[in-house]
Amino acid sequence: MTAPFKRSVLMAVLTSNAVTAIVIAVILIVCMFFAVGVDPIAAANVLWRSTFGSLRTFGEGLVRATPLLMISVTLLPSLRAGLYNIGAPGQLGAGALSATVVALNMPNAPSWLIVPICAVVALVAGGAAAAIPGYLKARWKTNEIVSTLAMNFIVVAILGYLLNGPLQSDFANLPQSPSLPANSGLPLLFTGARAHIGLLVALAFVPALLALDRSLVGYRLRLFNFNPVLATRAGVNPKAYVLWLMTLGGAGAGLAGWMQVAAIDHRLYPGVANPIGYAGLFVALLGALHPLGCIAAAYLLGALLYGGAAMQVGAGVSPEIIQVFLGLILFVYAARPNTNR
Amino acid sequence: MPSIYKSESDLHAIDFSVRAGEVVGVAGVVGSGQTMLAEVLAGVVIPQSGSTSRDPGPIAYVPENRHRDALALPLSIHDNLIVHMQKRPAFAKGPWLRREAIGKQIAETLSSSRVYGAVQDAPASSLSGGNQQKLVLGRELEQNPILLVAHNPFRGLDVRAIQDVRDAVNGACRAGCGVVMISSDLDELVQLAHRIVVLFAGRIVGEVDLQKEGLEALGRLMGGVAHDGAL
Repeated sequence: MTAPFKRSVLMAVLTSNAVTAIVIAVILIVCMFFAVGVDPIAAANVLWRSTFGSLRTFGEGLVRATPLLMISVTLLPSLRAGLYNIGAPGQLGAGALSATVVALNMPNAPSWLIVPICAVVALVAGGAAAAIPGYLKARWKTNEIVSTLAMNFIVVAILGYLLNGPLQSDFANLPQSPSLPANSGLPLLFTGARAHIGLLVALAFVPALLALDRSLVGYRLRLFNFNPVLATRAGVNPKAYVLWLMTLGGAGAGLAGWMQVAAIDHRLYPGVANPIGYAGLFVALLGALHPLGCIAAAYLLGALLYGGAAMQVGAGVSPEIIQVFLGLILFVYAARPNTNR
Repeated sequence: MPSIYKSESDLHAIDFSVRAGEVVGVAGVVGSGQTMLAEVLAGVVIPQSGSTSRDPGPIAYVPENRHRDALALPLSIHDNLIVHMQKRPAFAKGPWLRREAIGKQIAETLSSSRVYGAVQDAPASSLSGGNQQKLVLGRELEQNPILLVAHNPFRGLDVRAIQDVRDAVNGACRAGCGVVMISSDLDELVQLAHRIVVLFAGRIVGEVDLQKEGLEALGRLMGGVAHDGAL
């Protein structure tokens, strides 16, 4: 009975709220194109070419998608529990900062040593940055939206201070770190594009999450998400769960920060989180809080973000139209029918 | 038993005991502190002062609001049934659940609690109220508890379900479980309880021996009238 099952999964995806939101947003954006005198077919053409046109452009889409996947996948467990961690920029910055400091202090270490160490350090730093709001939430029920947002400002301020002072590169009077040692760079996935093994690291979390869903802890998490009081009778420690869920989200963002400095920027800038911002959360929501949905949504966003820049040249469309498009998708998705709880 | 919150209890000077195999009915009107008493007895709430002493063993709790407190409605019947089972090594090995053992126990629990026609993967919200209550009771009693705390267990049930639940409570009694039944439904209390204490405004105001005193005395105590007529 595999054929009927496959059809129902496909139908479920096609009629899902996320896909419907995207379709409606596409209709709206096409109307907008007509309104500003842009040929939507030409724009779509450019978008397609900048996504699948060549290995390089495909790789660029992957490069943009990787941190989004990394952040969104680790954000899933906390989102499912109703914890809204919007501290990705700060946690990412914390991860990027610690990876930078470690890499700069190990300039002669071999690649197989420095890369994993940087990854672990970034994971821990990002996790710690999220653990503070997590602890506040667990212990005093502090609203995590406020506390994670506040942490963003704190981390950015710390970055600004360090990059204008102790961590500043000697080369120019600019707020940026010295160049990271070459050994800390991430190996590429295939030649001809910038896509790097960070994608594999992010993808590794997907089967882990799927396995978690089927495990004992996954069951307790599920119960915790839908009935925290009953979950306590099942052996759950709610405070520990809140803390670890938040920390997990921070760890993922920290890893994304490490990827950003090690694979893309090769030095630390105060605006290290700017290309990604809060998009990780957006991807998680658009992916309907499912790991496979996150893969699809992360790639969609990554390709769109890269393609937006190409559309400026190819179709005379301002790249901000992509931001409008993404905003429309989120808007329409937020208006979806609420059938649960 | 982990507590969910410590609270300023509205109960005062509660002092009563339950023996194995005994059904103690707690009669009280709405607002007399029934819910707080149920939660304290079940170990869901830890009182600020006072102590309980009980033999070690699982406690079964059937709360009044089964939708909100006893079930996770969007989750499957399977997930709602294994709440206590997954704590035991027979059903969980390391990070994984023992699916076969669980499956067998679930089938047994469903049939012994007389929940018929339930699909394990269907959400618990798909069950009727009576079946939901029987599911809760079956799940709680599967632990072989030493104490069952039931708060208005027959609320909203049809006649057949009431009979099934009553049989389940009696079965637990025979197995040596102590039962505290907190209820505003006098008919059920009178039929099931070996002895009845009365809760009023957070206090146990007395015990009623129905053979000697009758329902009127019970009603008066529930309304806050003391034995000698004083309020």
